[in-house]
Amino acid sequence: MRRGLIVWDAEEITSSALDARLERLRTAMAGQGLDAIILYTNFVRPAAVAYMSSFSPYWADAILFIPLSGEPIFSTSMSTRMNRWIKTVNPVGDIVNTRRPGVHVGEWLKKNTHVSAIGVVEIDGLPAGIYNDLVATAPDVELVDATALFSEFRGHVDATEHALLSYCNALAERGLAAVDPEGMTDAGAAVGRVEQVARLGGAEEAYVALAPDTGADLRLARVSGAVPLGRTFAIRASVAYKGAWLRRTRSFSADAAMSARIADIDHWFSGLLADLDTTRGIGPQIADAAAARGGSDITLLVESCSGTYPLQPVADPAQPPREGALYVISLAMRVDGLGWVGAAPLIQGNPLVDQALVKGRS
Amino acid sequence: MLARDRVNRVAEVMDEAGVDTLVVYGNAWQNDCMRYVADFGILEGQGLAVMRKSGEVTLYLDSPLEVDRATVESPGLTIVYTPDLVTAVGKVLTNAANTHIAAAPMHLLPRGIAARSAELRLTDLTPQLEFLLMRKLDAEVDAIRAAAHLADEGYEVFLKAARPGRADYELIAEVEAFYRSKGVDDNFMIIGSGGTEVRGMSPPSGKLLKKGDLVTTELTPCIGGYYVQICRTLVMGEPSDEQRAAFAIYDEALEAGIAVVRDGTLASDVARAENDVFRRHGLGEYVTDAYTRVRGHGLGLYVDTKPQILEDVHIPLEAGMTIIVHPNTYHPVVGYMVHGDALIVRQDGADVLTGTPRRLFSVPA
Repeated sequence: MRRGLIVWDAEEITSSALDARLERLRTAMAGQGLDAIILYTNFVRPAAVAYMSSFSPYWADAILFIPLSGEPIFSTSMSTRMNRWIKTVNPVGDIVNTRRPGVHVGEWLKKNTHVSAIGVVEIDGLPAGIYNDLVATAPDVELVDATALFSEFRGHVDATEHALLSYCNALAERGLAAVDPEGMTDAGAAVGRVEQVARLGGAEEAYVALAPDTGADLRLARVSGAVPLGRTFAIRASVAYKGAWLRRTRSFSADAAMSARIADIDHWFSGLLADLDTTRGIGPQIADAAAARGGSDITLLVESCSGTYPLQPVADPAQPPREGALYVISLAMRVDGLGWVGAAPLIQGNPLVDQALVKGRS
Repeated sequence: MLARDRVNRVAEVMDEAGVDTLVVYGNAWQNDCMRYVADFGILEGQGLAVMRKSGEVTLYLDSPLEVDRATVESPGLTIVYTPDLVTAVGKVLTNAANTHIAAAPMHLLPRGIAARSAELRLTDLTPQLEFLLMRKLDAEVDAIRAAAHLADEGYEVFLKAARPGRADYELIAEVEAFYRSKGVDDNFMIIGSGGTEVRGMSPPSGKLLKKGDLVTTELTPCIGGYYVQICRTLVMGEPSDEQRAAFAIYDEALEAGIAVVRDGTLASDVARAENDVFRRHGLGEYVTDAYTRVRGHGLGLYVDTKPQILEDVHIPLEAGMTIIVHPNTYHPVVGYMVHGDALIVRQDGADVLTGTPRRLFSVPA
């Protein structure tokens, strides 16, 4: 469960930025004839609600119900005892504590009969209990899938999110930079250090995965403790800061010659991402370039944030990227016998800025 | 071996219920049922495990990174990546539609599958799985016992990290780094710091520790999927007389709760024993849900399982169950205080797992 810093900082996520997002979403809703939209959140699906309200749950779940006009409603299964905490992290909407958010929102809809066309983001993935409560309580409303609408709305990284992502990127980079391949001999020391740096910098979450011997296996897993590090290894830091998520992966070696080869490929990868042709699909360009670089056993993943997941694979990496959208590119390959794994964020036309790590206190 | 034993138990349950195919939902927050069937600690995305009565399990995951991880961490499983769980598993269930299909936990199933309940004649096997989660195999109890020392060691790290001027999240960073060094993959941890303004624990908010604060934490390391928990309170600096007096009540309540634990005792009996101590001290108001959630709970593949220790939960404790007794609540004079130990229910009493002294700790300030 989430145990990093969770706090709303009115200077980092301003009320006016949240208001602007709300206004933009309502414009999109009106364009599709929706009277309201429902966003679901839980520990693994926090992104949509975090974007609209800055709230990320560490426990329990909730619905953010946004009518076309009027105050949004945040209906959560967290107890009333937690309201004081929720108010410190969720500046949007009236908070309602209920064991059954679906029943609560359904009752609101029954009373407000003018609100009848309701969009639900990822409607097929809504937990059955909540969906069933909703339709049983408000059988006359029309529930439609609003996944595409929200994805279109969500695609562009605004200035607020850009700053959060930049800080998040710094947390991941600094964590990985703290790995000492010559001094660290086991997995626990390496992943522990990455996580420690990220959390000390105020990370909301840090998932650290490791491939302990990339000479043998390029797959990253949750490896810690006394597992020995091989001649080459790789670490992925998936880091969240105030609702913004990204990943960075780096390869390491205590061997100077291997380390130099890794640095060469790192340099190539950075240049490749900086020089991508924005009119063509990211996936094919990177795969082709990796092959041209001499790569074999190539695995490529292109992720973005478009719904409730913080990051998820893009539907079609062969499509040209959306300008101003966040992508996270993960690439693994072998080059002349060297196992190399890397990952980095990419926002075309608006690169993340370098940020000094300061304490995440507000 | 333990994973196979769990699958065998599920197969027995399926056989008794006449179930041919079982579909089990899981995510990182609600994973105990899926982990019981498919031994994988999911972190990102969601999963559905499909188990046949033969014991064959296929795990469907919607994150390619998690698929990679699962193939490394759970090599005995058949793992399938699908960006669309509803469609992929829906097809599997369609192909099994002429057999008896059950699901668990039913209320968490994606709506896209649950909406086909009538067509698939889906039945709910959640109570049977919850039964298995509560009544553990000996090997499961052994796994929890083996993890208990890490709760104690984690609390030592927490104590050393607590000093005036540090932010609450920094303590958690130190504990997490320690746990990774020890091979602990996961940990549930919340924290509180301050005085009477603090009504509970939550994730850290950036608050700086200062002299006189009560600092509370609930530490829950997870080894091999099994959680074990400890709750303790420390004072920044020398405890005041009021803090000591308050702590004595919590300590008495914890002792009272543990004293009644044995095979056959009801969860409500344990809660009542704890709460009666508060009532005797004129603090009955503070054992209501306005101030506290539960007086303990089960531990296992989830951090907070049945049976919840509450005066209205009449589930009998059985030998071999693992629970924590924790009379955590608000005290009107000093603020929120926590105190709890994990234990195994035995025929004639409690086998306490955690060994950290039961005292009000203090650190220099």
